[in-house]
Amino acid sequence: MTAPTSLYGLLAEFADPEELVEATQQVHQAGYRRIDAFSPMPIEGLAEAMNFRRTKIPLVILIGGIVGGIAGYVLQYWVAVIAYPVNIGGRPLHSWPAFIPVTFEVTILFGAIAGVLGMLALNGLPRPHHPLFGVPAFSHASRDRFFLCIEASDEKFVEQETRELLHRTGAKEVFDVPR
Amino acid sequence: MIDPNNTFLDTLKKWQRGATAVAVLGAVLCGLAAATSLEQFLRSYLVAFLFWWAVTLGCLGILMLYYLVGGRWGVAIKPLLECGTATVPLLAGLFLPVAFGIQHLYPWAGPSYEDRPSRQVESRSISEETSKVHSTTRSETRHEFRRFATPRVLATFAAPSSDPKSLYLNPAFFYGRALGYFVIWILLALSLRPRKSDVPTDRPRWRRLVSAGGLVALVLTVTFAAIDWAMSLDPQWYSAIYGAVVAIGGVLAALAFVTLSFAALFWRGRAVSTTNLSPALGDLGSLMLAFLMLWAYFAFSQFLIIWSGNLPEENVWYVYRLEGGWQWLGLAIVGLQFFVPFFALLSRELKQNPRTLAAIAALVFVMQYFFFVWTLVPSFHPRQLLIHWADIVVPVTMGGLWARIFIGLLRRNIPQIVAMNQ
Repeated sequence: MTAPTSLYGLLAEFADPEELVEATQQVHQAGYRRIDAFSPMPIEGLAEAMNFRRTKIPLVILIGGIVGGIAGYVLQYWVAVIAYPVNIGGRPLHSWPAFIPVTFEVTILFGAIAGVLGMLALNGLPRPHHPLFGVPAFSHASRDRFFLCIEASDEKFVEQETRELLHRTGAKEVFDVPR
Repeated sequence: MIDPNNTFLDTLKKWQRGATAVAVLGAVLCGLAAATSLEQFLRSYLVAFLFWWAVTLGCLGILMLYYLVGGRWGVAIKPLLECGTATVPLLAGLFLPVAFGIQHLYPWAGPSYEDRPSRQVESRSISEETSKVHSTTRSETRHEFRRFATPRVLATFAAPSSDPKSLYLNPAFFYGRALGYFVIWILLALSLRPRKSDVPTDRPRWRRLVSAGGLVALVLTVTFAAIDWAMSLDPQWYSAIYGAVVAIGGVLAALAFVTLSFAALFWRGRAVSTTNLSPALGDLGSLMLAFLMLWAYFAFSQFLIIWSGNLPEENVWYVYRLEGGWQWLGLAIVGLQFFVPFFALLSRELKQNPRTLAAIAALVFVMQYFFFVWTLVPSFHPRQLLIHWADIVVPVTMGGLWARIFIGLLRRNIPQIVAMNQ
């Protein structure tokens, strides 16, 4: 870790998506892992170039769903058996077949809510500011330019070497991203 | 480099020999079963026939679904679906023993159905039974699900001799309808059969049109056929969703069978790198999960509605299937046909691996047969778990015959399957 503390990372600008994918592959092959790519539209092959790892979202949704299923069933049990034990047409208080649809729906509801909240949490959102916004040219990331950022916290990050690598990959320009 | 076509052909030849052996050996045992008890053989035969019928029409339905919506999953398995669909004429032949045996199978076709002496006795004691039911007091919260459902109560709902149901349930009309169903299914299968001029990934406009109309015709005919051939085993009982449960069960079994063959073929053939197949296998697994949930939804809806209504003429069907040992088979179906595959199919690793996906598909396929057993056999043995050895031998034999023809057709399609999945 030789990174100077004043730097968040280095941001390279590219003119077209193929260059970005190629540069990402090279940077990944060079051993950098704390990298991120920015583009105004989805690019085929970019996630693979970054060796995008599987997220924890499915697990979060599964846990949300299981919690929802148990909660939905327990709520109905508590209402029908403990809180308001009403005899409806001679059916048992614990009428489990009638509880299944609601249990299923609460499972889906909790799974979906866990998915949305988990996605926000794992992405570190909501987040009002990001160091990348300190680079004025970065606003083009949502219009007509493609960017690749190597964070200073990467183990392989050495400012001069990394800057040279990014130039070699064909970057139009390399910006310092202030912390 | 080994030629993938040859490896596949060798594998298929081996499987075809196996299927032939099963069919021949099974035919001997079937003959033995028929000689011992013709009635038992016909009952086992009906269950086996209905299962393979549902699988075959499931293939036809999925093929039409693919022509309508397209997708990677369909490109992968289309040749297999076409081979399954091509066996529809075989089903017409397999229906003949059922057609000849209706008086042994269906109460409405049996001799002296109208004036069985037991029914008159049953009718007399009915008032006593109903008075018991109405004595349920408010403090007694137990659901009187069972007490309603005795054969005696059922007898009141069995219509008197001028049974209006006999307008529909009579042998002549029964044969006429069966003929009509098979004509429609064979025409559909013929119009969708593969042609030399086909572009493999293409979905021509006229086939999409045939599929759109064909799916509607298929759902309607399968519903009526399910009423005729399966639901009429209990002529007094009815359920509007019954045909849908049978149809979706068939689609689920067909999808499981095709997925199993597809995964096993590529896993045994080893000619195509399985990493290329992962997305297609994952899609097939997800589709199977969707149909599994749809099947569970239909099957459970029927139970929930009848359980909630608790009307004696309806709930008797479940009482026959939830007492005397049948409840254990029912529980096994809930666990092994729904929960185990459901949770397994949530995992991407298991879905994308041809070995595990084949194992899940095999479980779904076998358990769907036992769902057919649980649906049909208690009509012959209410409240008494009784699975005869013929209930296993006959479907396996029929499966051997079916698979022999299926694999024979598949051998011609091998270059196409390999080309589509490379």
